[in-house]
Amino acid sequence: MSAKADFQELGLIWYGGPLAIIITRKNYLKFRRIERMREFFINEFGIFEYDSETDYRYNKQPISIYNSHGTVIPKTIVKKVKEYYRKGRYMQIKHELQMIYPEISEMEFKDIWDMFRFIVILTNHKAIDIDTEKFLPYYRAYNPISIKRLNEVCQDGKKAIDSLHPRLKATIPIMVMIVIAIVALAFMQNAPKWIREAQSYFGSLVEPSGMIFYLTKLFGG
Amino acid sequence: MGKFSLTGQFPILEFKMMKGPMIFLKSGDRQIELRKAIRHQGKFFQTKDAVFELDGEYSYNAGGQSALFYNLFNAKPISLTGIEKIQRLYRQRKAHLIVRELERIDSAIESSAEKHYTDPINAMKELYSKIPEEITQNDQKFLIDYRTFDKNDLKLQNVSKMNAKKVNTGMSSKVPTIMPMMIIASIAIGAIVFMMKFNPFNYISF
Repeated sequence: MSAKADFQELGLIWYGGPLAIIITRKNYLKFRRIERMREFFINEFGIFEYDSETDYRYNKQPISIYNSHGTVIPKTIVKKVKEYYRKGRYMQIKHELQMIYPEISEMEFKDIWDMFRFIVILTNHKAIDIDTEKFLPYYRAYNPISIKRLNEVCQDGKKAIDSLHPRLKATIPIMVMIVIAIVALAFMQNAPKWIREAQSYFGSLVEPSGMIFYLTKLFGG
Repeated sequence: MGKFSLTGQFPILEFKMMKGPMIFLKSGDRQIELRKAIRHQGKFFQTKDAVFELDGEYSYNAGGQSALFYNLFNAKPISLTGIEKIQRLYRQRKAHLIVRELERIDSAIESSAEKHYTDPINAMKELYSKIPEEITQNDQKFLIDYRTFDKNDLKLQNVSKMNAKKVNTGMSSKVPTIMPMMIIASIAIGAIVFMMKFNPFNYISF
């Protein structure tokens, strides 16, 4: 984890609600909660549109992907906008936001969502759809052309393998493995008995000698 | 799913702490999987479904961790800015530009190489001369990259996989969400151990 911890991201550890992945600068991503204001939400990277069409799921958690295009809104303004929205003081929201988006100051809007929509279009803050089959169909799994091309690649790979010498075989065939396993099992079950028998057999072969031999001769036994 | 969750939510801690590029893989309909890429030959990773090509050009930095986006149906990573631009053109009723560009790319790739899915350099040489104004060179490059495939490297990958004794090793697996549960469990266990050793009720008289 980076030394400069993003506490808003650490706050997502137990968060199961909708999540936004936002490109902040070129190739930099941030994770943020989506606290919806109807179909819009605001954070320090701008006002974004939450679209069910581009809503992905991680298990059941909704995830959307956005590009902020470099927009930055001070956290105090974000906090105020959220508070005013909760209280329904929409004119004050416009007042706060026109410091960031001066284009809205001269304009008339039907309602607050109309204004949010205008800002989203102005800043290109619509969700990104990564469903590339819609735009760039190419190696699709069920596309006959792609299957043909993939087969060609695999055939080439197979030819490259065949050109190797010697041809590769399975190191131990499966039947040999099964036989070895059965023998090993039988051995492990009977081994203690065989060891006992072997001990008693070798024990009977050894003749008593020395002092023990004379004592047994003398006293019998 | 409620806002508080112990399992199944996006594994932010695992994402940040794991080593190696993380993969956002769009798998089913509107489903995203998070996977850890296990590199093969420096530029591929593999799941049970497919082989994908890692490309640092389309990698994103999320809190020090590099992340790439893929669609299961294509081996190349997605450029989010590139795909956003394409969608914007679709919204502005300029889809014909994209369609025309894709046709040009296809014919250029076909004419420039022995097979359709290879040789992006020749394709770029052919195509960069006539880019329409709305499409930048980066967008064009993304389109070409997305429609070309490094056949020779994939062949090498296939050879090494077929030579491998355990074919299923090195698969990039899904990242499970376990840290939130473990943190809660370790706090609970710590509290229980503390209570067993230093039970505060022993020192309180009623």
